[in-house]
Amino acid sequence: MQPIPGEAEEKKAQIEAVIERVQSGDKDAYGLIIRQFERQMYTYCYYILKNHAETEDAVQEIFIRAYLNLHKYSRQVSFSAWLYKVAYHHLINMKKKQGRWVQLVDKCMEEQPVQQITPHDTMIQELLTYLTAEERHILLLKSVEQYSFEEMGEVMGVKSATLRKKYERLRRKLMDRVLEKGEIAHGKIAGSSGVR
Amino acid sequence: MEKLPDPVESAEMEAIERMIRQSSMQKTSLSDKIMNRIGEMEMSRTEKYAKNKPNIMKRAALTAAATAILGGGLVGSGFVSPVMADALKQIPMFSTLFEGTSEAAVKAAMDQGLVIDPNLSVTHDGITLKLSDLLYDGTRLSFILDREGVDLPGTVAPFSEREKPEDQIPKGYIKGAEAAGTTLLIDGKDIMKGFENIQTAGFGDFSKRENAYMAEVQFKKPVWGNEFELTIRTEVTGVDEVFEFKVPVKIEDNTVLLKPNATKTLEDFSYNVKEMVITPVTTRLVIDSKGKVPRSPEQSGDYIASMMYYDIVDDQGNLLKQRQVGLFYSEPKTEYHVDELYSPFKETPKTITIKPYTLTVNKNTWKAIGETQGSLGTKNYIKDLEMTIPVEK
Repeated sequence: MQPIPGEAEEKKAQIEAVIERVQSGDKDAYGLIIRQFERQMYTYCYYILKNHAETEDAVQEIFIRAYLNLHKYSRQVSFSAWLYKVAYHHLINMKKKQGRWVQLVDKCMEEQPVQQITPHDTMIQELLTYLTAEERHILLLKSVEQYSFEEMGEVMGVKSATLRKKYERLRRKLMDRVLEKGEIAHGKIAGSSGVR
Repeated sequence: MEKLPDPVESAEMEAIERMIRQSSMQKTSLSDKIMNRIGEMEMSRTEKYAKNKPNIMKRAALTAAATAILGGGLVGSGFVSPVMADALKQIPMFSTLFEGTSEAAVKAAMDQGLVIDPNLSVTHDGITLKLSDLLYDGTRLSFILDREGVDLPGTVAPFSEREKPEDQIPKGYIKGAEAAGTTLLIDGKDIMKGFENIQTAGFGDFSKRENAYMAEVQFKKPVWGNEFELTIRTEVTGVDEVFEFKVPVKIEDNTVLLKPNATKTLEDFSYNVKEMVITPVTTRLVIDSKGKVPRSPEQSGDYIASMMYYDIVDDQGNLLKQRQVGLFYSEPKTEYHVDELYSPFKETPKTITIKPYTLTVNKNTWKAIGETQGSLGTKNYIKDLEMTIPVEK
């Protein structure tokens, strides 16, 4: 659903207003912010972490961290971009700290009965296998919040022109996969429950 | 295959992005949990803002606004329709039924009932589906449906079409198994249900023929016996009736099953050949590996060793063709469970040699040295890890 420009602006203003309330001490108003963003945040974290238990923890940590740092937020960027910046850094740090543990979880996932994984979930995961960690963040940020390259630049701390180029490259990679019709052009995709 | 023009690509890319956006798997809101945890916490330096508390009126207005936002959030959250879920499944690509198969092997396969031409056709609403090639050898089941009566570029709808409401999708696209559009039953039992015995399943355009749709299911183990009735039920967009085919399958089981449980080790890396299954149409190799892949001298700096791949060679030196080779844009992991299909042997060999190899991959571009269209790259065979397995008939 592509938001109508005016509508998006209005929504932004409403969110900023709620943030102001939280900043001035209305703690409960933060619940509105959580409910507004948690769904897409969950999707973003899930496709990076590939595990529901870890994702639940990460989403909680991100919202708490954002709350605790809310005083640092000012209106120069959108709240959304600021929140995702918190999320991006949290996910990157998690990966660094728990590289080993994440791998173990990964292995457990493979051993779970396949029926627990819904088809679309598996399919998107499979596509993401072909991307580098950075490309995954780019695709997910662009997908879940429909960010412009400028906004993604804010989140990831990378120039928008660079992101545009990187996005082009990842699009190429995915299209090579999607449009490939079975010929061995570039090797093939491993099974959905096999080698990852 | 030729690249499709850009507008198609952008539409496909947009569809993928939408699919990600709409695939939220969150079941319950975490809001209460988070708010409880925040409970006693204090936002640092809140006093800075405490001075300009909004008055009561302003607060009421803001609450109303926030409720409106929530409503919007719900509408936008979306869901993944079965039609959408179907979309990406055409990605596990497969090649032909008989790739790498010699004429003798095909003949043997036909004699043993592993490959049949049921020559069945069903017509509904001007669209005809013909079931021609069908293969079953205990390890995999493949078949091809030829479509007639409609002029569409492919047999499965592109992403950008699939997310439309059902009545707006052009008539004549075949629906895949994930959306329950294609159902496979063995003696009346749905074999796709729960994916319990299924290793991989692929559904999509058959590359070697126009208007042909191919399905291939690889089983974890042969559980279906050697004689049964297979029912294939397929739905087609814009057609109410289901296309149903019933085929009696009876195979002569000449499967050679080896369980060598043999291990080879070099440095930190070791692999164990757990199982090999040899049928006239398929060779299957099951391996567990552990440890860091050994690197060759040129695999340093920007170049790294890929994960370990395995070639299979018979006693005459004939190399089998691996059906799918998974290439990954990431450094290899230290543990793998490999379960791969290869082309069949020309005849059952006396010995089989497994030749492990890596590709030398540039970790910035993820391109392998020697990689071209049609070649994975230069294989770096690791002689010390080679293993020869005797075949006892």
